[in-house]
Amino acid sequence: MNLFLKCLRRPSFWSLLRPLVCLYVSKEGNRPFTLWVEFLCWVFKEAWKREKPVIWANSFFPVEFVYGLGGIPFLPEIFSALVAYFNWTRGPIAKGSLKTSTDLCSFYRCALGLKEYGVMPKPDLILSCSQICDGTKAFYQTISESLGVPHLFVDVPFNKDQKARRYLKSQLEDVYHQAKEILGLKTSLEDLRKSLDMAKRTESLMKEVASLRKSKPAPFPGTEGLSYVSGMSFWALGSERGLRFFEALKERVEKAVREKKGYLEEERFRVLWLHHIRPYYPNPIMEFLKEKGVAIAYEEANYPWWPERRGEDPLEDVAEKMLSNPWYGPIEGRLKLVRDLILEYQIDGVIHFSHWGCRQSTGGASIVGEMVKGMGIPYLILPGDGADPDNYSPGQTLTRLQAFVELMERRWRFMRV
Amino acid sequence: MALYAGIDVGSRTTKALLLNDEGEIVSYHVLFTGADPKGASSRCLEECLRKIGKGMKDLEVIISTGYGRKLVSFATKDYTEITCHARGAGFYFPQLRMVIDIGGQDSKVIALEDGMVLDFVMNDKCAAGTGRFLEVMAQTLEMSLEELAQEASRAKHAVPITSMCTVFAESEVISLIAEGISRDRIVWGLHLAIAKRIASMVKRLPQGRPIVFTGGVAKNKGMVRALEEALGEKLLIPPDPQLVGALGAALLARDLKDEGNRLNHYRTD
Amino acid sequence: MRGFAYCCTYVPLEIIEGAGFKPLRLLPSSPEKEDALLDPNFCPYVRALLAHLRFPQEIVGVVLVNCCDGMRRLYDTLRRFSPNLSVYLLDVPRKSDQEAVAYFANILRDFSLWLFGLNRREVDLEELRDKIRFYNRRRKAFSELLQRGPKMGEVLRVLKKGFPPEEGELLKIPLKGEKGRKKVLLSGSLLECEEVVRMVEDSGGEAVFLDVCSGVRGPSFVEEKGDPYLNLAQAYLKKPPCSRSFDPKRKSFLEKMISEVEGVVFYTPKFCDHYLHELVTLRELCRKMGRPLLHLESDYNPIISETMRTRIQAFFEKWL
Repeated sequence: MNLFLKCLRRPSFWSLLRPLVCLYVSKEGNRPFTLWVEFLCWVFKEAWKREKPVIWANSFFPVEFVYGLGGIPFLPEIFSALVAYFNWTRGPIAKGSLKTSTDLCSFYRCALGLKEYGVMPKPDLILSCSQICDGTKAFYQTISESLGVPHLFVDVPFNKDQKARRYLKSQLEDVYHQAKEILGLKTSLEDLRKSLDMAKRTESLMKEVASLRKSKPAPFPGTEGLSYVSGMSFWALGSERGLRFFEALKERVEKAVREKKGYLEEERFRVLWLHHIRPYYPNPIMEFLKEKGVAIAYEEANYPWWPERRGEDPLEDVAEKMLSNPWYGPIEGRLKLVRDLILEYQIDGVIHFSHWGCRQSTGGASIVGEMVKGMGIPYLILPGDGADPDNYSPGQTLTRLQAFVELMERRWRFMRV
Repeated sequence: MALYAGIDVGSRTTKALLLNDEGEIVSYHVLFTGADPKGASSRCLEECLRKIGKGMKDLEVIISTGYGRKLVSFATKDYTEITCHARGAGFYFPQLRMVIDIGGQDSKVIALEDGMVLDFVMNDKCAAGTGRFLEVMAQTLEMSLEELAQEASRAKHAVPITSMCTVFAESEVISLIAEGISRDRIVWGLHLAIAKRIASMVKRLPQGRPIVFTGGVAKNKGMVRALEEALGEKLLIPPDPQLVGALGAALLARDLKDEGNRLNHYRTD
Repeated sequence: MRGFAYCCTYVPLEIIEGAGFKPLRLLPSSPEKEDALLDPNFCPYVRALLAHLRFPQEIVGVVLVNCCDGMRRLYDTLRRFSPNLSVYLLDVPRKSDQEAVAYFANILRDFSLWLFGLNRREVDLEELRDKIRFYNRRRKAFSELLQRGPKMGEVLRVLKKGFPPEEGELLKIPLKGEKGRKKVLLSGSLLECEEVVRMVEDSGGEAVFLDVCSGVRGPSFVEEKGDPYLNLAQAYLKKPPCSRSFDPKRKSFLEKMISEVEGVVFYTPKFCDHYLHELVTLRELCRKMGRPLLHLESDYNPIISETMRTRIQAFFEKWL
């Protein structure tokens, strides 16, 4: 085990692993997934090499800043999801929980525990913002004190008016300049412009993919959308690799739409998945839905909710994007988003995944449900845990899912007759 | 005679029920599940058949439900308890709009419209609000479940039980006994505590009436009284509330036969 | 005078009084909680507030702060399910630098306009300055009382009604008598049960600092001349920070308090992200400084439970 952990910290390990893993996964013919794996190997290699500054960021922090600073971004939340994918979170979660309480989100407890294993490259700087939950600010503040690493924080206002935008933009400017000073960098605003411009181009592709996914039958599995697609959108936005990934994704989805090929053999129902995550450790949920012909046609996580970047004042664009985040601020933002998605993606049912410890999301589940049911659409609140397999009850979860499918089946039959 | 079977494999008890072509109940049986749900389901069904001198070969369709439904390898198909309780309760009360089911180890509330499940809420993570809660409390108070139910059906005043958790509620009851609070007040307080939990589950769903109360705990008159008080209205109780799941499964078995192997929508008119 | 409720010490009460309302601190006296609209694994204080505000008595409305996910969802839920209540969300910055102060001053100006408008009044800046002076006098009296060493359980009981306390209430607070008790820091989020402090005292402890949301975390003085909004923003943002603030002073603030006591009692509601994350840092600080730590979790109950009583007593018996 110790030998394995030591290997993970070596850049050469990732250099060697990269071609092998990419060759292996490329056999599936899933180019976007291959690019994701390649991206991860590159990030870990560069981060452990330590030739460029390693900057930790939370998922909703504009990661294009990190690329603009010439840094290597590392996102502990996504890393915890990766560790969950390999079903290795039990140990870290146990360690993390000892320091605090099991009331907290398992991704943060996992990250707290992973720190003890030394598998996350130590940052030179931490950048975080208050979106979209309390846990993010609290976690990064705690971890920065624990690691003795400087932490720059952007306090995103709740309000969305002109004054809020000014306040947010001034913080983004400050953070950029302070980061440069702390890291002793000679990058210029022009470098930041380049990565912001890259982000803009990538976002256009993301919008095209979102539009293509409206097709029937669903051309792309939501289960993949909730994993590496979402991962790339948080981690790679603003980089060349991010752009290439979304180009490849668009190509794949376009092909499926052209060939009128759904990702399920028989698509009986189209479901919208609410929450940015799903259980990442091995579990039968997605297989069950697939067997029942239930397609996760779309997920709120990947909807490109931001306005088009104008490009004249890139920081103003970033501020505007952050303020238009539908999961931050009054719930009306999320309600409008969910309503639009149901109509645009021809949704038959909505599953709200209520991740244990996620108050920002589960707190609104009843309000969202009231609206969805008011539209005549079946709605299921599915309690669970995205990272902790010990907080997952297979019997209870599958009973709820099966009952939900039965509900949709009977309603469909009734409406047909 | 063609027969249709419904088997409800619960964590405490397994129930089997048989219907004939006319949709009449011809036999049923209940036994403890024990540690072998698979064995319990076959024994229960065999006993059910034996009572009317029939065998497995007489069965057209078998539907299983309950937490152990996937273990019934000889079932034609399985449905969840939600669909089955909704279907079974509708047999007795076609105009129902809500079902409250309190079983041994879980509780659920189902909202219906035109006999179809509209929405549901389950509590299967926590013993509070289930038959298990009452069993634990009966033990603590050194009473049988029957005595507990009788006491609750006639108590006049309650002492509030504030603990959300069965384990903490048990400690709270012990403290109350030590303080000299009378048993009938404690018993009534416990029933009202469960009723409150169920009432908050009811509030989460589209409101419709009448409400049917099913599951083994519906035989407890004290619980019926507590729920009626918490909800502010009378509940409808089927003749044998414990069998509603198995009945619903058997009705679905008959529905399945009518439509070949496709799902049939059902309306209760 | 009609009541207007608030839940957080970042709300300038001067504005509520200036608008002609009586500020009422929302601390329901019943442990009753809303379970239908919010999951049980949600902040118990928020659930207690929802149950309490279903049938609001004595109040015209409530001002909430975006202090946490729970409060934001309370804001959403109240607006949808209690439409007869006027609800406002105050966007309080997490930082306290000059930009944050300038932003907050604007926020307070907007809040003031809204609140005065609710009471059909024009905003009166001189009225506001007058209220600032009035509250400063109360703060001064309170600070003088603290110097004399009052019984903290009684202080908490009075503070539950609002900070700073009315002078009449201050006079009723008895002073500590006994010496030789173990000094503890009582830190954490909302402390709805003053019996906890009495229990600490009964077990041989003395709560020297009340670093809790219902405690003494208010500003000590607000500038009386000039723009009242800027002065209020300055004073309220720079007051002793709570765990929600992104303020490097928070850790040194904790360290200083811990250095002056012999043990720490950390009181948090269940499911509180801010304080449960802070627990990681607090545990480390206590370990480094050799102070025993007791963590108490509450389900929002103004009446102390037997299990909590036992924990406090055992802590003092074992550690101190």
